[in-house]
Amino acid sequence: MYYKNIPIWGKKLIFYLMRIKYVTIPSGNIAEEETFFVKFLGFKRKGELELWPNVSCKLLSNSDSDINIAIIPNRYTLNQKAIIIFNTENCLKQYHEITKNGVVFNHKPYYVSAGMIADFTDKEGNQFILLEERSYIED
Amino acid sequence: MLKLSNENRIYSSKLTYKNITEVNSNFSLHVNFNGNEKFVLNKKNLRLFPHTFLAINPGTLYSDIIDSDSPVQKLSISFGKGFIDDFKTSFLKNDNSLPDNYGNHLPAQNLTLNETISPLLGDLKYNIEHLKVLIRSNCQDELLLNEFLYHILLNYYTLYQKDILFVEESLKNLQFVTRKEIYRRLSLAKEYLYSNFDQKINIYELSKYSCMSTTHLIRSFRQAYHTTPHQFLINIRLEQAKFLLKNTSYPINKIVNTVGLDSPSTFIKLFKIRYKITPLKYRTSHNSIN
Repeated sequence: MYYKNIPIWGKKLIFYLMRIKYVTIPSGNIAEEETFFVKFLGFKRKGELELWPNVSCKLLSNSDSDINIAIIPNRYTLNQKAIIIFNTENCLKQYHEITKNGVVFNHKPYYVSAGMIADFTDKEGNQFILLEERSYIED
Repeated sequence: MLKLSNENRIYSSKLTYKNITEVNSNFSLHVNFNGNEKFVLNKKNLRLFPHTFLAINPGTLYSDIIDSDSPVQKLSISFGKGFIDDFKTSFLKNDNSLPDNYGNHLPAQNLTLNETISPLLGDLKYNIEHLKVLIRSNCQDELLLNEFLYHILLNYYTLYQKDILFVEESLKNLQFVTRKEIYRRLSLAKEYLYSNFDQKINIYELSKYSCMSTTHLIRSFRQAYHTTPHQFLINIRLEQAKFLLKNTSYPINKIVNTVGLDSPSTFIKLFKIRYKITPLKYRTSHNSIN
């Protein structure tokens, strides 16, 4: 479920290519939460993101930032304290590098409509998701 | 060539000339990223262009020929027998728990692979691009390379299954054996179109290649893929033109000739209808990104 013995040199490598793109907001009422962000905080709707099989999160952003809010259903956060989504350019490679450093992932990397995902949980129960976003519509 | 300890092999090359004839020892996938490459496969003459890939089964006698003024960059993957067997086993096991098998699980059935040209799409395209970068950076990490090869095989098989299921659904009123045979012949028709889109294609030649009468071919093609062979051909030509607009500085006239279309005005009209943008605007938008 979580990392084994991470060598000191490994820690730097782990987070080298990852950047935070989504901040998750757990909510029992997605529509209400979304309305709150849009009406009261001036956020704009940016579509949806499938983070778990058949579970979509609502995405919101304000214009001057490339960090998005992802409203996630509460039931996916019951056992976790925080869900951090890292964007990566190459999920499989990142998964492999982090695994080599001793982290045990919850699942093997898998495909969702947003791209490829792999996730692990730390000792405190915080969940970390590696997301490689892929466009399946030819540009 | 990178030979892994489980007999998987990855060949990455940039050649202006190549001419080999051999019996394919393992199931292999061939992708080329620019230019074109000729294959002779069981007496079939095929040409492989960017955006497409060719699968070759073990035991097939084939020739691989490159004869080009500019270097053709290609990637070939040969999957070891044991690796393919492990892959089959992973599908035959009855484990549907999600998400470990989400996107990684396909209906349990005998694994058969189709020896033909197909478009390079979706996750297969992404994973092959990633593998190409790894090979260029001289990666020797077998675990990582095998992870990619597993996913590439999975992506290939998923695309193939999707194509079969789509056709089966469209032809569901026919008997299983008939459906299977029609699928085989339509695959030949598609292969011919992918291989010869830059030529003047005659419907009689196409129907002869796919062992069907002209009427039967057009009717079955439309029924199976919800489009005509002609429209399918136009789409291949437009996709190739899009590739050339994005990756070369060829003038429109040259692109039109290269992809086998009649005139620039027809090309511009078709391109605009299909992609809702003119070819020049498309090229400009990509030049500004790059």
